[in-house]
Amino acid sequence: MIRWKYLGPRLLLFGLVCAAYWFGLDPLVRRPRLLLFGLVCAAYWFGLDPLVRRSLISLGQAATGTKVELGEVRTSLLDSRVRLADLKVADPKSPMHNLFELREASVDLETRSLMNRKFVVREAAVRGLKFHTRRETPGNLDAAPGAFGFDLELDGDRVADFALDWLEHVGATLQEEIEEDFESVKLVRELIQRWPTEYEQLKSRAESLYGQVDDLRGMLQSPSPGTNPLRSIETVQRVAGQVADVQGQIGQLRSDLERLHQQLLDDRDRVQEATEHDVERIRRIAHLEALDATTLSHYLLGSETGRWTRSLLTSIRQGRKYLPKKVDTRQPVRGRGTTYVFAEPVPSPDIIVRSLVLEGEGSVDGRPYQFFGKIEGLSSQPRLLGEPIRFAARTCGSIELALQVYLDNSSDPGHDRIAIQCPRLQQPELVLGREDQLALCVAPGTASVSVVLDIVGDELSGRLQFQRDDLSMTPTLGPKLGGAELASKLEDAMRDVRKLEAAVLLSGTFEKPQWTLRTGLGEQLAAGVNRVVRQEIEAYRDQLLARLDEEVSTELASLERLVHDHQRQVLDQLQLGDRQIEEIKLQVASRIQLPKSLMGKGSPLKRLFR
Amino acid sequence: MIRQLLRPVRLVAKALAAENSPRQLALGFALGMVIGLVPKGNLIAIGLTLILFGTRVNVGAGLVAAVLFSWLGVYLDPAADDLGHWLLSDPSLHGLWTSLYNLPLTRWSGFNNTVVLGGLGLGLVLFYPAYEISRLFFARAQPPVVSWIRKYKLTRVLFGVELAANWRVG
Repeated sequence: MIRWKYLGPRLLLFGLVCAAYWFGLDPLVRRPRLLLFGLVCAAYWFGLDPLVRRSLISLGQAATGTKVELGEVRTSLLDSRVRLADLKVADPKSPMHNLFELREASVDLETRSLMNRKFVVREAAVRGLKFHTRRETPGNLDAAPGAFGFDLELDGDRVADFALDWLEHVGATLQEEIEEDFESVKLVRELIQRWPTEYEQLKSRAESLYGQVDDLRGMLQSPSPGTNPLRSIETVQRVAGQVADVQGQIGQLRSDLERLHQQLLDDRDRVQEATEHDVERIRRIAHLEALDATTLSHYLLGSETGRWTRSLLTSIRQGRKYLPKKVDTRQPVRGRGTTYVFAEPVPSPDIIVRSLVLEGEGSVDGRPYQFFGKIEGLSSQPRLLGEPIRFAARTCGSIELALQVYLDNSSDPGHDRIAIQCPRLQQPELVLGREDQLALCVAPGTASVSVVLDIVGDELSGRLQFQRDDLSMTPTLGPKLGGAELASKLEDAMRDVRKLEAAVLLSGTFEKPQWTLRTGLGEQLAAGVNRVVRQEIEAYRDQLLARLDEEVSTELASLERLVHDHQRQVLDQLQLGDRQIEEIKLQVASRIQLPKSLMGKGSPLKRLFR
Repeated sequence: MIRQLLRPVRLVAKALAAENSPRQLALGFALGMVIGLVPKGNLIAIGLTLILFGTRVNVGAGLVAAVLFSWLGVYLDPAADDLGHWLLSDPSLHGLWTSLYNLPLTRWSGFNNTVVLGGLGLGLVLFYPAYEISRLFFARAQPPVVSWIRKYKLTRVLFGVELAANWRVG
């Protein structure tokens, strides 16, 4: 029943392949049939590589959701080795960039494990690895995965807002046109408006009296000599009566002048009271609570450290996305049907990478660096492997950085530790704070940065330490805050601040991280800022008080002068009226020819005319 | 070379008109049915194909059946999946599966996949009925089909090539 005609040649050719492997290709070349078989085998060999290449591209695109390009694949079934060349994986977030690309990757698999469908990588090496390189064609596929995002709770942001409020308050205080609102000045100006009106009324009343007196004089002078003396008596009686009335009005006018004089004194008291109120108001406005050091630290460094923290956590989160998840037990895998997993004498993960060497290069702000790294203990089921993933890398060139990652998911809860040391980080010029308010321009220099991060389960704890010993800062202030003049004073105040140490303490969960900023910079700067701002505000306050005093004094002096002038005019008119009244009285007495004794002091007629 | 190129066409013609017995045609058809029902890309499918080509059954009938049942297999997947689940989760067979699982190369056979094992089981269950039914069919249908198909020049050419190839000496 066995069809040896079909099976025989294939078995024979298989044997010949084995023989060729051991003894070389010469026997095959001498025999045309064997050569033909060799060609078939070659076709198989050449066909295998494109098949593997196509499979890897499909798998990569399914995993990343972006375009994966692979230049060349070489597989060697005899020694279970795969070599990839020119692999490019597009960045899901930026289609015109590659997430990474590599020049060459070689994977050396354990043959015996392959018999049990286990992919155990004895050694793997990746060379020419580059991150975020430019692409010539877009790398997005139809369905791009969602971008990474962080709901990061940063207490520092709230404190930084408070710092902005403080600075805005300082600006508003220094810019406030307070002299326009001085109550005392307003009151004096109001009095200056009011007093002339009052005196104009008195003056018109005085002029009216003066007119009445003139009329009385006219009445006494009008009758000719030889007229009926009885008629003269009537006229005299009438004049005498009106004189008494005019005298009464003059008396009233004098008492009004007295009242106004008293009112002037009262108004002066009111002005004094308003002045005191204004002084109190100036002192209250110029009173400013000192800027808190923590507040200033968050205002200046909050944005920068927040950016670092976000960047760091986003990178870790992105990296964790591609790391194998904790797998307690190996569950059936659902695909076309369900693939059952049965117990093994020694359970082991489906994929293990015992050693992976990485070599590559990158650039930060156009400055190139090279990196070398090694990953050990990578597996698809870390718990089955029972050992942590260990990754150590070092960079050289424009960035000197040492990275150690320890991901232990072999027990519950998993413990991940990430440590980064960067002793000499070249920093470009930095602007801390906001240039329209208070900003510090930090000159380029070298900083030391270290990060230690622990993630136990989902709990996050860690510390990001930043230190710079060659600090050179130039403050700038917005026009509302005093501009360049105040900035130069501030620069003098912070001339001694040459060192910056900042630490970001991370806590919370990995999904909802929180951070707290600790730095001495705020304390050092707050003292200088507070001193300069206080000096400025005190100078402004003194200036306001002096201006108030000057304005009130000037206005009061002009008011008093005004009142005095008007009073003098009214009094002059009243004195003139008095003299004329005396003359009228004498005329009346002479008209009725009364002896002077009757008109003398204490006489009945004198009393009559009073 | 020409022989190699014409081989697929020749196989189809041979399946229908070759001087194979109905038994060989039926066996080829039943084996092709099993191949069609089992998902490809595993050692079971490769092994079944090797049996088809390595035994004296009608390869043409087998290939036709494989293509036909590969298409039908998509609709039979749920039934194969249920059968596979039933077999793989049966406690009495657990020891057998575990032993098989731990043998070298067996994991490449995909026996632990429900559709593969269910498809294989379904194929084996249907093997004998398919063989009997197809044997009766070929016994009745073969003579008129052979006489009809031999009227065409192409068939004669194909068989001539086959004859010439078989008569080669040395």
